[in-house]
Amino acid sequence: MITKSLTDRWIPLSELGLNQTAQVMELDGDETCRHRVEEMGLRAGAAIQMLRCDVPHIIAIDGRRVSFRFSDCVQVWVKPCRDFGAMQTEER
Amino acid sequence: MTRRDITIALIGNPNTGKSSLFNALCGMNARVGNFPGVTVEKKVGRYEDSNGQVTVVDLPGTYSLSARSADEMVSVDVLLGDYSDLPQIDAIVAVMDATHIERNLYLFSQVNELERPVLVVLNMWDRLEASGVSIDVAALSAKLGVPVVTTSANKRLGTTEVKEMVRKLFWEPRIATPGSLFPEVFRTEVSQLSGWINSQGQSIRTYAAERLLLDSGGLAEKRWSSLVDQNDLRRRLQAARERLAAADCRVPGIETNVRYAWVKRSVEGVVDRDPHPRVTSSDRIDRILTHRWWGLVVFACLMFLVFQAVFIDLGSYSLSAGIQAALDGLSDIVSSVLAPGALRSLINDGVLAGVGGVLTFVPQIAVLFALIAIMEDCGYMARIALLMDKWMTQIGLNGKAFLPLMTSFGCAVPGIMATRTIDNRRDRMVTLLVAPLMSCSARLPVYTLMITTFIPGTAYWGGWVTLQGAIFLAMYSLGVLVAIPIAWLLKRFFFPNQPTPFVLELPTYNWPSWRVVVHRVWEQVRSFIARAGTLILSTSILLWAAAYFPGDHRQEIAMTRDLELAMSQKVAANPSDANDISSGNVTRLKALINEERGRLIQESYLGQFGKALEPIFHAVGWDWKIGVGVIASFPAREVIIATLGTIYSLGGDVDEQSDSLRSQLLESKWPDGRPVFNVVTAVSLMVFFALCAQCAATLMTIRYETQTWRWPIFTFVYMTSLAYFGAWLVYVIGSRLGWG
Repeated sequence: MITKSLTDRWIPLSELGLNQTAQVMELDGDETCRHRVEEMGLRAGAAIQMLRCDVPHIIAIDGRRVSFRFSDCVQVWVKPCRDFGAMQTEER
Repeated sequence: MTRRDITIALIGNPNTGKSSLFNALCGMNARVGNFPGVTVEKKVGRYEDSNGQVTVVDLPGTYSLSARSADEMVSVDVLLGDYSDLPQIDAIVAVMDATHIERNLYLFSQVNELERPVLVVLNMWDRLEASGVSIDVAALSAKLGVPVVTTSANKRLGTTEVKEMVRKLFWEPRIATPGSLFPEVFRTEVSQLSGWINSQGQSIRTYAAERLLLDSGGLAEKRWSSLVDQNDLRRRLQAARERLAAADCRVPGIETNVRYAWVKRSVEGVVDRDPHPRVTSSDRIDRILTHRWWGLVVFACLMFLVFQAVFIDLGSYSLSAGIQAALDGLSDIVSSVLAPGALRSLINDGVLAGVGGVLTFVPQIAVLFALIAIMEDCGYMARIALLMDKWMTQIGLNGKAFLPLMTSFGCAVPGIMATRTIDNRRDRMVTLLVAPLMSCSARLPVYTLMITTFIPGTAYWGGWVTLQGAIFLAMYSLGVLVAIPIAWLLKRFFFPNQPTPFVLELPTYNWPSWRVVVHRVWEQVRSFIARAGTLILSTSILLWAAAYFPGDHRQEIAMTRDLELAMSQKVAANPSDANDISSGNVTRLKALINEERGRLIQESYLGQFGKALEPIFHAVGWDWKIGVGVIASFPAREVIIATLGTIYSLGGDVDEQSDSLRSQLLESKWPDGRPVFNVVTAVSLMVFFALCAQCAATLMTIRYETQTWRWPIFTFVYMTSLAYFGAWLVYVIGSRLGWG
């Protein structure tokens, strides 16, 4: 995980700052938990914005506000990006 | 055109205004119940159009039809027409929040695969402009292959079009045939699996076979395990999933990939959304309301106001008093029509006293539910769950458990019903089992009587803090403090589960719709009266019989006749003195009747039972009279006041403010002359009431919600044991410290 964050500059979602925008790169962890999170729109390729850093986080996805606490069963890796407009959700 | 009754189903994500649309279509004409065998709420309404009756089934709000939870499984079964107690669904109405259509189309992509006629309703159309979104409705309809109408259900706009389109869809069904969204390799596996199941003599739909493959350990897998060779099925599913993973088509992840890709294609050129993140007014409100500290301050203030509204008189108590007065009036009529005897006693002391005990709480319950409905409809309830999540996780629950527990301070019955919002079954069970520990309003009369009678009115800090107030707060806190270790133990030993993510969509704040609020309050009050009322009624009758028989009531009846005659003569002699019955012969007769009733209750089955159990009561410092009061209050705890009144020879007509009951309690003596009641006895009795499951309505609600007798019995046993142990501990420690 550390290697991943050093080489690709991916960071865990929880390390995003307030109002910082990012693109979801990968979700690790239990398959069923991951699927539940993905169904809510937090999936690889999604453009997001952190609106509450405390746990549970509030994240803006596709214009909606969704609150998440991952309970150590899902790890979400994101790549911070300044230009949100250029970074629209891309489907994988 | 010929007349034809049809059935439609409403499905949609939570917070899409589905309930508003349901209410707009059906008005108050709805029945709420459970789907048989599961704790999923079934809401069925009806409306008439020019071609006949339309039955509307409102399915639970869901984000997906992945059939992992009971809600989702029921929805799939209803939509596929596999539910025996509902007719075949003629059309599905997919309700969407027009401002967040992308998210809603995920569910639609699943619904569309069921191959039923579908109508898409883009609700909240009035908010579209403000949210910076525009939608080409005709283009969307063409892309999806189904009709699309727009509504603003909270303003009753667009419902006529929905009704017209539903009927049109029935006469000219348009079933979109989107084809499978999944890649070839997945479709091959589905086809092989379906072929094998068909070879086992069963028939499976493509959608169900897909779910079987996608939802590892889901409800579909459990269901099919009982229909075909379980081990063979498991082996085949595992092998298929491994082959799919090797082909870079890992399940269940492939589903979100293909569906979201389809959603993206569907909205391209149809939905125009400002690509830059917008700071909405909801975001600005959330900066305060979900702030780690300010959010808690605002929340604490709001909760204070809610409790004040429930516990102080905002008209609700006057209404309660009005209901009580109406019941008293009814009782007077019964007394004037029926001669004293068993039948009159049954109606007055059994039926009316029992029903009254329930009905007088209805106004407070209505106030509480109105406030909860307002907080829910404006979007604040989701924020409460978010704020409380951090604290609730400390005891193994999640933020969604907070509301049911808070509601239980008013009444555990709606509190337990409110646990339906918790999607994790294990979390829901723990919340449901600790909810009755919260001090409900029915405990209030007991606390009031004991505190005002036995706790000195000592004041501290210039009168701002009183000992009575502190004890009152302690009683309310006791349930919460005990609930923490109980929840932890239940979670540890009965409902251990793997951690699951907490996921909650936060709806945009909006002004609550009074129609929705009135509708919700009406639904809750109606079901409260129907369920709690019928149960309390029957238990009250049983209790009445136990307290009435086998005594010889002839003397009491004769004296009651004499009393009524004396009173009517007195009123006839001096009509202006009608309310003053406290003098001379009347007073003497009343005292004699009360004494006789006290004797009769001692001889009754209930009295005999109380005396037989006296050693058990003795250990916690109670005499048989308190014991009988406690036993009598198992169906409903507030009954103790009336029972103590009867046992202490006052007749059942007393309340917690009654000075005569207070003085009787203070004067009550053991055979050796020691007073029965003191501070320690009073506190031990309050602790017992704080922790005991003395509410048949609560236990019946647990039975109803869990669909088994196991959990109400468990709750009764654990709470009663806990209450007895708590009362014993208070008595032993208090006596040792010389407080008695």
